[in-house]
Amino acid sequence: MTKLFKVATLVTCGSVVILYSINFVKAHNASPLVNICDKHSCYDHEQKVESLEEVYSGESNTSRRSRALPATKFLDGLLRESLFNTTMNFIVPGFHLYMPRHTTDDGSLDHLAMQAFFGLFFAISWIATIAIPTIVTYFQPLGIARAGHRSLHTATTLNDHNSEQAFNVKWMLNDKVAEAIGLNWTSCVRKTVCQAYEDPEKYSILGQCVRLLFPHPHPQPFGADDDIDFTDNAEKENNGRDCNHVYRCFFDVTNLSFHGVHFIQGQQWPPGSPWPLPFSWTSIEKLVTFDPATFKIVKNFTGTCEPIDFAIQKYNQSFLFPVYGNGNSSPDPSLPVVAELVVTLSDNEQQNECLQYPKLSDDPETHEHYDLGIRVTENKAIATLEATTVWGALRGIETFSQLIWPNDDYEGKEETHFFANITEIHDKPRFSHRGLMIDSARHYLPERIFYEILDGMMYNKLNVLHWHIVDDQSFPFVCVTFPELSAKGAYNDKAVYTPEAVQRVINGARLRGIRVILEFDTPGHTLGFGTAFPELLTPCYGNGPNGSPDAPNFPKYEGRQNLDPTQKHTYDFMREFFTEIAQNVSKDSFVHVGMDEVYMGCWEPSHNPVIKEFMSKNGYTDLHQVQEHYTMRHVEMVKSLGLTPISWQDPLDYNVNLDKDVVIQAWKNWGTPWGEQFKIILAKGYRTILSSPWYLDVIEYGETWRKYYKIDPIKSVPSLTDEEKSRILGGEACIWIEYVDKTNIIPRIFPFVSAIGERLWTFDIGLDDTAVDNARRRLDQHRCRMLRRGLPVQPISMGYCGRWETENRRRRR
Amino acid sequence: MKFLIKSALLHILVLLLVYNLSNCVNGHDDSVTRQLQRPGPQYYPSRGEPWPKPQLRNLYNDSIMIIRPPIFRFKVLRYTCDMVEDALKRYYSIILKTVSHSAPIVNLANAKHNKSWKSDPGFKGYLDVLQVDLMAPCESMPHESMDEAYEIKIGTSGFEGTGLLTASSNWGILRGLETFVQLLYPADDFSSIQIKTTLILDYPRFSYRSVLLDTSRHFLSMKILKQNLDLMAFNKYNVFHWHIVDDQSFPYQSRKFPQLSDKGAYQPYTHVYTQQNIAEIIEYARLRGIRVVAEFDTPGHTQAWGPAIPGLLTPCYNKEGQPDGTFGPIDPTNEKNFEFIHSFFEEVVSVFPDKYLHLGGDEVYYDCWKSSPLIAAFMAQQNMTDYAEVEQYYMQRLVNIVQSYPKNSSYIVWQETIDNGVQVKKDAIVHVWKNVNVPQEMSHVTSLGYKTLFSSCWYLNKISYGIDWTTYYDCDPQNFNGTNAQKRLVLGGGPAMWTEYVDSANIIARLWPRASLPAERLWSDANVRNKSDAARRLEEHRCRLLKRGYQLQPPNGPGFCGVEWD
Repeated sequence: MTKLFKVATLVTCGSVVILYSINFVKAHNASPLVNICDKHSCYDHEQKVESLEEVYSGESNTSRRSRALPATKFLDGLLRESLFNTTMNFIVPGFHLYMPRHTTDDGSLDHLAMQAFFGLFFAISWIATIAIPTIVTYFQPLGIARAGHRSLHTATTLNDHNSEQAFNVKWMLNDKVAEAIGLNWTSCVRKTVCQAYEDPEKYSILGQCVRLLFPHPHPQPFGADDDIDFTDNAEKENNGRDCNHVYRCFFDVTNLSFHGVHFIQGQQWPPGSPWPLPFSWTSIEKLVTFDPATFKIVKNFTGTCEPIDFAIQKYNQSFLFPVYGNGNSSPDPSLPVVAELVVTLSDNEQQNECLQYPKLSDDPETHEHYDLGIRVTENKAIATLEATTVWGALRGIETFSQLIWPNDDYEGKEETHFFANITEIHDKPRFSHRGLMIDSARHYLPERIFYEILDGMMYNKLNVLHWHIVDDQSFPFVCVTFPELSAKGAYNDKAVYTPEAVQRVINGARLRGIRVILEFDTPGHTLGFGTAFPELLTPCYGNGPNGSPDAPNFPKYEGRQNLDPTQKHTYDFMREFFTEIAQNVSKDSFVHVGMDEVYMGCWEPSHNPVIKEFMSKNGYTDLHQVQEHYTMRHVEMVKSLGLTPISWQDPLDYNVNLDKDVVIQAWKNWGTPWGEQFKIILAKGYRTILSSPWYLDVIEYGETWRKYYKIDPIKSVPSLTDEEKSRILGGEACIWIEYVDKTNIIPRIFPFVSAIGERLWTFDIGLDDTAVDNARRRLDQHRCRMLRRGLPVQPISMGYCGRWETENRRRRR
Repeated sequence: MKFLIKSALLHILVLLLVYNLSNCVNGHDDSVTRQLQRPGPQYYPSRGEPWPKPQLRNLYNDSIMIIRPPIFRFKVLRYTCDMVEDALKRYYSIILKTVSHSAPIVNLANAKHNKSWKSDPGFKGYLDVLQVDLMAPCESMPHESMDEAYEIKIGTSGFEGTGLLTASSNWGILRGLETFVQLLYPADDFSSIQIKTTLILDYPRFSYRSVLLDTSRHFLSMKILKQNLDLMAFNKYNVFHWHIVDDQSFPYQSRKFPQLSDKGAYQPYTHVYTQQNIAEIIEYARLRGIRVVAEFDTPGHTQAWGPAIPGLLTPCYNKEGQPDGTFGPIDPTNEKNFEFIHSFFEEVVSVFPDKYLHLGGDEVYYDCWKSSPLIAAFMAQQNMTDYAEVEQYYMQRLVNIVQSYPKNSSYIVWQETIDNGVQVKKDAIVHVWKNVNVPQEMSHVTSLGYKTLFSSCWYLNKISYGIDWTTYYDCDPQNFNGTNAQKRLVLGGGPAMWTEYVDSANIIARLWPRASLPAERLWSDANVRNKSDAARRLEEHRCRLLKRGYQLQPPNGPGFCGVEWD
């Protein structure tokens, strides 16, 4: 057996070496790839849409769903962009699973097996990228015109004429072709060799082969040359990445990711591409137009339905058909005009939920489901939207608004026309809990910010606002039962949320189809309670055994940190407090009870005589039994008020006994990988919400949305059972606002939450770089759309948003 | 084995020792990044403390004076001019609108009934007039050696009951007015606006204090540029380093070559700076004592120039020796290009009145030149062996061109130019930006006798979670080994905001107040380093500017800004 593996490895190694040799010979006469990237990154960000013909040349005009591409287009696509992406799609997971990263050649079976796998995938990649296209195209010579991939600066893309020549596919191994598809042999070979030298342990046997055959292409230490990019120190420190800076090649054997080549950055999207992507979206090239002066959204029933009426008012003509400056807009005379969007709801008033607050649905398939059609029959254009509930209708109206796009003329001289493609959409969410958590305690957020956030959530089809309303630092929530809480605990008397304000926000959320789940965090994070009622908190003995009460434990903790679980008074207070919440404040049947980050040091029985006595009285031996004591009573009390508690994951981490009805929100992204922690929670039988990898406040330089987009509550967690999957309610992005306030919260949330929104709404999105690349331009389009609607949304990369960004923060309310 | 254990123990001991020592040295300073869990804000703001910290400030026994905004006025003593009058108006309205606004109870009606300050033992009367004494006629344009020193006396001995701002130039008056307004703060009970009796003698540590904005990666609207100039003035910056064009777009609308922005801007009608726009920015900056130094980066970073000027950029070649349709840096072999450069930069130096022009010269990649047979032929003809020599050749020609203009102009170049051995004239300035081997580079450049600018550790486009301003605060441009003469060659520098991931939507909040830290480093004495003191003053400064209507993000963790909420 061992022998077999050895032979396999040798064969693999040999074939790789041969392939390398062939290309090394070719590389000898080659010129290095031109550096098309600047010091920070590459760009080709914006596509300029000049005319319909241009938009609809090539294949970029229609959606990719439910349509078979003709063979020529398939080949074109394969050669141009999908070739490597598809192949890598196939290969990368294999590499990641099987490629030895930090092993040494100990001759063991496992090691050899890994080598064999590595070689196998390598060979498959070469066959798929080189051999098959060569054979196919050799017998079927095609002239393939280059379509799509328009970038503003021609200098930054491949020259169109040259590419056409290059796609003389008979010469698949032609260097022009190689370069056209983003693979420069010289650079790639040299980079591979370079990496084999610079980062030997990542390469193992293959590296040895390479090192035997080739000299180091860049023998001086990095830094001696001037043409090396020093800008990104983080990258530089990362072992082996140096080679990337010297040799531009997107194909990276060690890291197995794509680098620096701008024209392999995913799919082009036609204007009017929705975000998040619908479940099923079919559109064709035929267009309809709108009369911006008369178009309206109408319901097909009489009587009021507040959320729909609100949407009709919000998605009005100036919202749907924004015209820059003093420009005019009119319908395109050559196209059929859609006069109205007819919204149909189920007849049953109870079922359509017009009068209710949105709630967690057991059945997302119907709850937020909608069917949207823009059709032309006998030269008459109609738009229809059908939904069971009002919430589905709201999602459909949002999608409809995203399908409309203008012929943005740049001089402001011509009339602006608005178009939509003939489209059929059947849509439903993948998860029923798609949330955003907002902290309003570390800084005070004025009420108007909430409506901006709710608007943005609606644009991204999110349906839960989790309002972390109070915390240690301040208590802005005005409680009628205990007005002292905010009178003493708020930052100042204006930085509060009155009962009316809270109800206004909850109602504003309802009109947008968004639930509001309030969080009152106990028994930790309760200094806000303690400002007015210090007797609720346990005095800590922070100065150690034989210390004194209320002694802080520097550097981090104050003299009192947690609620006092030993007194009946604490439980009575919380019952009264939550009674007000249940009866008068919360309109949702869920309430978040916190339970995170209890500072156990304060309860440490060797320091704290009160807790010690409490423990011995109750027969507790472990400190977490004290936590359990509080948790169980608190959860039971909240349930007795008719509310379902949601808790952060902490109690489970300490094996605290917790009611199975409690929903667990996973948040820890440290220690063990979040996926493992998430799996453990699911295995314990709880319904869960995922937040761990989606902390928007933890910022980094660069395109961080990609990181959020690559997370999937199901696919990122290996080997979940179907039953476990069914208990994943969804996910929540979290924005904690230690370093954020009203000045920067909107750009910190958007467009990052959009990435998470699509992950939670849309079925079947991959986790690889291709999927992320493919989403990139559509997200950019969505970002510009949100900017146009008045939200100051951050850019995801270089470029511009038509002329709208110069008019930042146009208010439309 | 024994040896291993021994050495490990030794290491641990040494580490512990170093740790303790560093704790002693830093004292309470490390508390800045420590987050204490407690109710209320992380830092309470200081009261009436200016930012950046003045060179000398004396306080007198906690005594205070009271400002009554409706009565208070400025009185000009000797010279004045439009710039001074404009500044007085501006700061008067800041006092009325933002300082008074932050103490809403302060008004005549209330003040009549509630004069709680009268019982304050420190009360030394009302400050109803600030005498503004400009001792020399105004200069019209800010320049490299402008005098920004000023003196403020509020109720000091010999000046009881009065306030005086003195400066020998209008630039000093501008800086002094800013400081004066920062000295005002509302009383605890918001019943009045107070100022501590004080003597301030102030002048900048460095003469060149710049903020770089990149308007190529994303276009920045005029409104944002002006807001940024306001904020620069509030932080006593005096140079707007305008990185106006780059690879991504060419928003500068040229008089001689309008095709540059027609073809190179993101959008040729809305995403350009017209000549009128630029004049407006220059004037707006002038009134605030800020120079505008434009950067037209060549020969690299010029992709956006290419479409408009055929033949300007080096065509890259593929292995068959055919042009492959991509382009590299400016082509130095084409003599016509130097004619274009001559003509274009002639326009640029006439549009931007400052003596200095930033010529760029950073990050030239040789791959394209290496592919080009024309470059190879050129090198053979010129007897060159290294591509750095080609770059050097270009930079030398460029520098010669800029020196040849009749206007007494000089220039700034990024450090690569010097690293590659280009001869620049002695009053040219070298801008150090790479964040590797910074002290060595500073020491190298100054040892060659060049005036030097420093930006390496102030790349504010790089972000991370939490309090990051302490690193910007700790960084010092003169922190390298060199003689005093070498250190004197450091003129200053400043932060850079490259806009790959930033545009009008988030630039103000991301740049400020983080850019306030380099401002203090560049203005205040080198010994001003206490971070916990800075944290409280920064908190006040941020809230002060928030009240003036600018969206600055919170720098210090949880907290609030008094009564500014909408």
